[in-house]
Amino acid sequence: MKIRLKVKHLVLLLLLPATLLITFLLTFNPSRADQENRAALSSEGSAREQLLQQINAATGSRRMELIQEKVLDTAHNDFPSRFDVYIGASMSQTGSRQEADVSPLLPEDRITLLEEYIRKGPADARMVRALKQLATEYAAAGQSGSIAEALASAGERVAPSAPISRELTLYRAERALDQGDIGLAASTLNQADTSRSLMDAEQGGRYDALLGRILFAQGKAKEALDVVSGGLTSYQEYWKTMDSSIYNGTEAADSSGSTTEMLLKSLQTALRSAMDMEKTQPAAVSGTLRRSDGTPIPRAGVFLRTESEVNHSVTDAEPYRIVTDEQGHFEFHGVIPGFYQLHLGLSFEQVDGYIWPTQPDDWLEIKPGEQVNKELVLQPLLELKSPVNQVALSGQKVDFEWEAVKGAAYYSLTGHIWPKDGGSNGSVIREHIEGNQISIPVDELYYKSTGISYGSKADWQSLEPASVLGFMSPGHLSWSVDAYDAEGNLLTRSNGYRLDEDTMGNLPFFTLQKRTLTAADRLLLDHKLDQALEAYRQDYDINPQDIHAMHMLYRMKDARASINEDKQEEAETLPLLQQLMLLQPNEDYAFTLSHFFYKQKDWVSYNKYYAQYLQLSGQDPNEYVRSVHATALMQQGKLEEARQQFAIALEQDDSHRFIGSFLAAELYAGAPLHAVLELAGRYPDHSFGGSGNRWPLMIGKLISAKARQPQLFEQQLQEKLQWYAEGQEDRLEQWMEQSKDSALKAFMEAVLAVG
Amino acid sequence: MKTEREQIKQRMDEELEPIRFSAQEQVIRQTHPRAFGARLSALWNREIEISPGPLGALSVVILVTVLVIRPLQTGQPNHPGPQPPAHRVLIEAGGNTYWKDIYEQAVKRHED
Repeated sequence: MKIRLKVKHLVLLLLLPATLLITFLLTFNPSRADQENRAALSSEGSAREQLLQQINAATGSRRMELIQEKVLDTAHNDFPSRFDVYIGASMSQTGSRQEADVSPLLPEDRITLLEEYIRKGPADARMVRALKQLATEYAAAGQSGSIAEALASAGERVAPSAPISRELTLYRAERALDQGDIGLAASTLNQADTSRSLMDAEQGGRYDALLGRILFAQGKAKEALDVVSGGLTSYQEYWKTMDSSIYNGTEAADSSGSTTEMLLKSLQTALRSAMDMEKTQPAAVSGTLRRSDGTPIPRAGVFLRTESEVNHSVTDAEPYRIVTDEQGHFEFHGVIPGFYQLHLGLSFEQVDGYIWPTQPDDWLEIKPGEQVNKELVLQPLLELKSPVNQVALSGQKVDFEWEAVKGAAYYSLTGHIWPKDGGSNGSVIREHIEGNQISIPVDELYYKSTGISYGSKADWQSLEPASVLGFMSPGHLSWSVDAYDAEGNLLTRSNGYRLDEDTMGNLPFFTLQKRTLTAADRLLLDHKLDQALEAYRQDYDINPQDIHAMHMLYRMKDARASINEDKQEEAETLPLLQQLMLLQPNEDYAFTLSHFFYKQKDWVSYNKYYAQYLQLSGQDPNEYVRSVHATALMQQGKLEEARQQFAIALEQDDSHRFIGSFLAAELYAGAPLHAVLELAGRYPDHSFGGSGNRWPLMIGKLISAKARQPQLFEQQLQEKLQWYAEGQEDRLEQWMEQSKDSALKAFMEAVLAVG
Repeated sequence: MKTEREQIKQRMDEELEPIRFSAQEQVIRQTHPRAFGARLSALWNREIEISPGPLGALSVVILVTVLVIRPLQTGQPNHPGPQPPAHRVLIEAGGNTYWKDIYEQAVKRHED
């Protein structure tokens, strides 16, 4: 079959759908975000072209200055990358992005310019920085090998006797060490022109730190510790002399803030700990950083941080820092065994809409000689469905619903209030929710206790009214959801960086409008605290069944007692709480009461309210509550039950903060020291910035003490443990004051401080 | 009787008989060039024959190309991500971190 038609009809036939298609594409398909992206891209393109034109038009030293300013100075001082966001198990930190930080240049532009700078720029400290930055760029571009050439060309440009030549050597050696080529690192550092005696205090300090790391990587732990300790001493002495000559002895010498000193100290601590534990074989840690769909994330910072470092932000003074390569891969060599946490450095673009699910006690125990592999995966943020976007609710209950997460065994739901003066007060509303929705009675939310907050004066008058009213305070409430797998590992959460219209999702806000404020509530919100307190008291006097007045009276008096540390007033809140428990029982009241009677050692009342707490919460106690309960059981003489509860709690609690109590209970029950030593090693204590090796070292000392005088030691140990188990803390403290230092005293002191 | 003229004509006709003049069109095009509009009109009204097989195949190719290229193009701008202008301000609200301008737009949208 053939179709006969005139040319004009054919053209019309083709033109009509084409016009329709073009109109459709232009009006509907490109979303606004898309257009903005394009606009951003084209403006970026022009900014880049302008900058490149500017650089290309310049010659000679002006050109080098421009490269310095536009390429080198956009990076971090010592580390070749600056990150917008730092995320770790125990902290996250957002940097502020300055205009100068945002370079319109593409990686290939930077590579070309840095290569040129290294060939032609001034051969000073900036050249070494350019090398470090170029190495990162090459790695992110998948051309790690190319840095050798740049290193060689830089090497030819410096005189062997110049300080910068030694700086270059230090970098070469450090790079070799980071790449696991320990032999090359050692031989580089041993070059004839790298004499330690030629270096100033700063360079010398960094030399000692590097040499210490190389020696440890070679298996020479003792020499490593000697070099690092010696380096630290001479560094500190140098600054002491300098300071005394500058300030003429009037001001105390303090170099502790310098990165070099911090680096040496941190290495010394790690090396000492490893020596004490006889764990002296170097280890390695490697892995990849990806998104949940498998996409690798290049150019992200990965930081392996020791126990002593995790409680402050990432600094230049840390030995294990790296930037991921093209495949998202990272690798650390010559790692000193011990306890570490991984932290990430990401750009806003990398973190937007994603979280790295890490929890406060995600510790990495690196054992001697181990090759640890750690896959780091960013997960998309969980999306909230309802109630969202500032909806006002006036019903009897709130129906929460969120997106189901694949592999989630349960969720936890947290609520927050946002007082006008800033800050927020939150409370976990429900834990262990099995589905992706839950209905909560509004009254349960209203009487949920949030934290109390107060102003910088920390006095009664600066009390923040909204924090006392909790979820009854007017204004927006927010909520968030965390998803966990069956083992209790965090999978993802709803809170995170939402920087784009696509990742923004629903706003997590709603308002509750079921109840109206009482006159007393309004006085409270007006900051008339004493008048409000009096008004609640009157309401309560008029109607002794007024639960709201009773609750608020308790909340305000409890807040004042805690601010003023007034034991008397705290005790006065008890009758209110007990009555509230009768009229409107809730788990917060029950827990507060049980904890009060725990401190009083009133075991009958404690047991009653603890049982009520368990019943009202409807779920197993968390690890903290369980550990406190185990201590209560021990003090009631229920040793077997206490040991069981401690054992369960320690399995749940990755911080193992109650390990000391468990060890004492085990020893008191007659467990031999070597068995207790094994337990101490199995549950390293990570609470309050302490060392995971603390308890094994103390038990080790007990073993040595026992070896000297077995019978006397055993008798003393049992006596002190009995005092502890029976709750005779005063007697123990008196003994500790009077006796001289010993392994037993140190152990009992540590046990007493647990909790 | 045929006149001499007639005889000559007959003879000429016989002699010219195998010769055919075939360049009339060329001559006419040179002597009377057609207007551009007329030519276009001729092309416009020219009839053509199309077999539906190749036409269908061509349509499918075009359609597939459009469908494939379109998502690729929309996907590309996502690669550099939400490149924030340097002067933007971050705020924290409800436990999330937002760019202030986008957040305020969203709040306004929901208040309306």
